[in-house]
Amino acid sequence: MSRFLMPPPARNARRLALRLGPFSTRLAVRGLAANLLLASYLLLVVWLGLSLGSRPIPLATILAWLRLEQVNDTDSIILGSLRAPRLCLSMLSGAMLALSGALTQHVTRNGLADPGLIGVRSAAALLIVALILAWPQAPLALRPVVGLAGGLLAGLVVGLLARGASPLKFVMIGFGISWCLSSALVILLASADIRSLQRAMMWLAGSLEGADWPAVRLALVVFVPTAIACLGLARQAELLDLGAATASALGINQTRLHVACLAIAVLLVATSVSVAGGLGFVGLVAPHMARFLPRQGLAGRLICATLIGALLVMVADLAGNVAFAPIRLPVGISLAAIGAPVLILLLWLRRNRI
Amino acid sequence: MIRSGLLTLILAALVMAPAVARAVTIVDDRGRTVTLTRPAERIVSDYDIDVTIPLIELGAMPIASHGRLAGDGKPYLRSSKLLTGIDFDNSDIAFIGAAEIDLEAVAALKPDLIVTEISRATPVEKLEKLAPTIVINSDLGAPHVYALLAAATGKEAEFKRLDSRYRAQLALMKAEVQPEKHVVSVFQPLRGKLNVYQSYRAIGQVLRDAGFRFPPLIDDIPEGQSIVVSTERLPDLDADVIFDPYRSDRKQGARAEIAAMERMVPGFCRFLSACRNGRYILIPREEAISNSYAALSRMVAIVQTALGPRPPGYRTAPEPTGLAIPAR
Repeated sequence: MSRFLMPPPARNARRLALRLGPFSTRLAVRGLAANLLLASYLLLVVWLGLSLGSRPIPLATILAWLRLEQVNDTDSIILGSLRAPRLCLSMLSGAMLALSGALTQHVTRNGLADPGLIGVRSAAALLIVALILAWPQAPLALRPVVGLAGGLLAGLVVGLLARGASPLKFVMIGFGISWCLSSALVILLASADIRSLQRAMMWLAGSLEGADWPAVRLALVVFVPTAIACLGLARQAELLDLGAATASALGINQTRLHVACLAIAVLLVATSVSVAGGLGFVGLVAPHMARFLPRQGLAGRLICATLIGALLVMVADLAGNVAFAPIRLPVGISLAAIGAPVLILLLWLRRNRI
Repeated sequence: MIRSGLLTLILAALVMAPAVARAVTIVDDRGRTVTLTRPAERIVSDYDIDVTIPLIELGAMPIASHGRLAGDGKPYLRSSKLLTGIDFDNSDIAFIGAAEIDLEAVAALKPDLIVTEISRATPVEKLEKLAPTIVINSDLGAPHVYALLAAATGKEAEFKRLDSRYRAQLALMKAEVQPEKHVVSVFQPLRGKLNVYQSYRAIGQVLRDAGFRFPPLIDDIPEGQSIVVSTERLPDLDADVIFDPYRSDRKQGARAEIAAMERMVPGFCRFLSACRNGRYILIPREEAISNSYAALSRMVAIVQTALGPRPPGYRTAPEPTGLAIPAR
């Protein structure tokens, strides 16, 4: 397991040293190229997402809209109120899930770990479904707040119950809490009125139907600082690969590092669930897909997984929108259709290394 | 000269009349105040059964509607062909999606009104960015929904006509069957249990409007809600007449409903006096579930037939024997 999670850097890997005053960093050239390629794919999907749909919009109109020039009213509404917030939210929710998955897998040294498995997703979902059922007319902006509170609370409870325990025990306690919350969710759904149930089920399946700019802003406010913090912690987290004793000798406070990493992961998942519903597979699949790309340091791998996660959700949403138009599949369903075979394929390809 | 001038003025006034049509202000079922510059003409419906059918019946044909997908992938409007004769395949109504509607298609149609239902998943906040949007609550019944839609579309006269037809049919039925003397019950099998509504859509509205009595188990259900009970409560649902809305959109139809009841309680008919007396009435759910005047009319007719007076010596019709009619 540890070899799988901590690939030694290839001896002959070409590295690029960047220096700026007292700061310097070394970058694996092939890893950097892979990440740049993923970023370019991301731009391609952004362009496709803005131009494809029930009403195809030419590139010239998109560029004019991006330059804040006058475009016709219908195109302006479609781009500004429908496609752009949906694209941004799909990108951010995928990125958040993938980043939290990669971080959790590294910290717990478990290739199957995902913050969704430790009750964070279930708690956020439980509170949001309760809100949908109890107060159907509640403003959309309230959902992320409620979901975030639920997710963080579950993370805190798991953290408190599992303090001092091994990574395996931590995951098992998380499983237990997650099952309890899932049972509560089932009870809630079973006792709900059949008409309200449809709304709740649609949201649970993962839907970007309600994507708007306030939700994008909330996701950005959480994602940007946590992503920066992740990259800041990556160097210390990487030292854990050398073993607990060596890491301590090098001045790493392992408990503090674990708590910080898991808190970030919980925050990211809770935010993602709050704005986009229950999207499965991304946190699990994206880090595994990243391992097929050229080896690089933890920071590089986190960036790589983040880009893959964003791409996965964006492509799934785009496919769900255009494949059977005007029928639109909720992103959770198209993601499951894409993610499940990918996960099985990845597990089979790496069957001797997990 | 004066006469032709006057005629021109009158004609001009007639031509200008729609242009200066009054603005309409509506308070919808979410308590939102929506103002339309004039009665809506380009209407998009976000719910087939509770919005599209009433609009069609009022004569305000929507330009696009939510729908369902049949097994062969073709879209259809639930219950609409039965109740209005209109569907996607014989009208200009555009199909805009099923579970989630295609908001881009809605924007491209440039509607002047979007009508959604309170239980629909599409957020109103998104819809109202595309066009003025009103939210209806179909639980409040057809007359309420029609009144709201008629105000938004300027079809008040049509609404009054439909409502007065229903009231007249109801009055005739009440005169024939004396509802206050009968206990009635409505339920359906649901995955091994019994699904009971306080008021089951169109059939419930007719029974409540007519003044029928219900078993205490049904009367205890809060207004607008339903419960799921064990089959052990079947005797508590007994009545003079029982209505069971069966899935008329499925191939097996009413026989599947009877089979479902038999699976739950073998020989269930023995436990229900209504059934023993030939008054366990299977009604098509596609009609019973609709909140439309067309459905209300059908339900009035069904109730009147089920409870109307019988001639002496009346017996329930036997099963068809399949004997050939001799040729003349």
